[in-house]
Amino acid sequence: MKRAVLAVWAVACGPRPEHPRVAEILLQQADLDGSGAVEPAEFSQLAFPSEGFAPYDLDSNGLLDAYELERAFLSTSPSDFQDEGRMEVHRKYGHPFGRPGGQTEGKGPRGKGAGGKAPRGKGAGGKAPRGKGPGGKGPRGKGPGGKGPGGPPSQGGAPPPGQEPG
Amino acid sequence: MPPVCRRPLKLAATVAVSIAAGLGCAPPERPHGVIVISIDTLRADHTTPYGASGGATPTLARLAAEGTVFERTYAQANETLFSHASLFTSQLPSDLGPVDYDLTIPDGTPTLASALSSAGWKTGGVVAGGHLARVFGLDDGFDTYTEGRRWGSFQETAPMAGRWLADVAEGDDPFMLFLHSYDCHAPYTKPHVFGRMATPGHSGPMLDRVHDSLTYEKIHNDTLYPDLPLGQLENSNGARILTPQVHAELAAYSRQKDVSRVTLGADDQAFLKGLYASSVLYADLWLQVVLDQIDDLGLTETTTIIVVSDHGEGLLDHGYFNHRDSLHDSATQVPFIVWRPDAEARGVRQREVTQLLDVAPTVLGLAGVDVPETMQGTDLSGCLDGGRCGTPGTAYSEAVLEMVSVTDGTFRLTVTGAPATSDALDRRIEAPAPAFADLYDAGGPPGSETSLSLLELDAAILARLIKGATAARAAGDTP
Repeated sequence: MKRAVLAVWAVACGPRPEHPRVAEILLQQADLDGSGAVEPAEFSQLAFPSEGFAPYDLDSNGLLDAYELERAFLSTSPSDFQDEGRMEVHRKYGHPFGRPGGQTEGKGPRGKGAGGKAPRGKGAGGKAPRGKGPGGKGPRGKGPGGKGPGGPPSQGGAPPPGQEPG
Repeated sequence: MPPVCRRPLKLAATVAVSIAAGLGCAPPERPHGVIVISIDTLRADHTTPYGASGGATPTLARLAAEGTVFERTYAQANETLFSHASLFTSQLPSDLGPVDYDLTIPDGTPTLASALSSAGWKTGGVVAGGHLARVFGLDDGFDTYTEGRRWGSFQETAPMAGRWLADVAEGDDPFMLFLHSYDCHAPYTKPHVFGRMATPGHSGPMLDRVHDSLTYEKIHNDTLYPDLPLGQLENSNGARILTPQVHAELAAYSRQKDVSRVTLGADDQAFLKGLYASSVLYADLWLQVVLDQIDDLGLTETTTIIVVSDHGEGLLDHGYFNHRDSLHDSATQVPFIVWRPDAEARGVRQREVTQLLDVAPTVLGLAGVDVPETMQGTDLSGCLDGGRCGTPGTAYSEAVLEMVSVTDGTFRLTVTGAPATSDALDRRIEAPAPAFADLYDAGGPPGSETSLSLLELDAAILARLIKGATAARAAGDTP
């Protein structure tokens, strides 16, 4: 009963999702018992065992509402989630990979080929769209993973080409 | 977003614009644009517009309901690099160079971006690295080309795209954005509620192995061979890559005795396929985020959105989890959906066989820009509201390691044993013999293909397939 009240309260009084349709579908998919929120028991059935519930429960009320599901969706990178597995196997097989990562946002073209090249340094590193970029807005100031796309580029080296199938 | 997504907001915006106009304040002009979104490794039949059930891709479903769906679109290759090279240039991979991981778009090759750029369009690419890295020449013609993490997600590239769009939205120039992610690519694993979304509570031998992208390479039919020594070849630029040869090694290995095996039951297989389905939904929801960004920037009413994929994915349809081992529909049939703000007809479904070669000419057609003579695809802009498209009726695809295929949407002819650039392959296509040619009835869903003998197929159909393949290969020889 208490959980149901909390779920209703969260819908009525909690922060609004930035992408309502996304939040709605996330809740539809994850709310296995139809209570209006995701409880720890549901989460443990859905997530991989290595993942904890608490980092996603931003208000620590023991439930994930649509807003919190949306925050998790926007701010947690599957690339981070997968890298460990990839790196582990690459180490195991001696795969000559550097550390994945290394965003190169904002670099211009490499200066060959046809058609009007623009000046370098005109990349997409400008302003965020009206302050509403995914992962950018976090009213409660914390999000799981803490590696939103607005963060600094990771320090990985540029990958050698063609090392993994596409 | 579009009419598709935010009707209440759109209505409010319309009212606001009307009031502003009444007060003598003209609404700001918004630049016209085209956004081409490539969701890597998305096989068509796993999306709602192409028959998937259960709310597989709600965003694509809404775009399709208000746009145009090309029901039978095939990629020119089963690999990211070659397929995108074709998408950008509207040329076969083998016309750009040997179909290998060294492929680089030759200097001076006209591309979609270069043609638009020459016509005064702003062009931007935001890609998830990997085989779309600029080292392969895929950045040719783009004003800016931004690489996110290697093998990365919309989680990284969508915000980059949003920032690029915010910049162009402040100007008057028309624009074209190409946006890409690897969200459906192996390893399919995703965080939090997406982890076991399709099979809640699943536990089994694969649970701790699925984050490892190479695990999928070690599965053949219903068995995982965890100790399989992966065969890795060195190509001419020294990079170590996985190739279809790995699959041959795996098949041979599976016949050996005394090797470790993990049998995958129906639940385990459902779990693995469910991971892919979750990845597809994950990518679809990010597509919604992108549409919201477009809407927030006021670009919805002036922007055409095109969604495609570069190839599909084998999900044990033919014994493997991957897209490199075959050119079957599972690996080559991809979504191709066009949503236009000013469409005269909504929910159009085109049955003609189309190809990724057609994307660039179609965008240029929509933009009113001349299609370079080197481009081999068909401009479909004239049939987006219905009517005939006038395509050749067949689609031709190439793969690494000596495999090509042609389909008319019902039957498929695959020819092997010579490089795609070789004259020897021309001869094998023109006179297909059982040693090098396989025929399939591919009229059903991907994975349900039935093998035919060359003699079983009606001679006229076989002739059409051969004609389609030879014409596609000859097109690149014409300046």
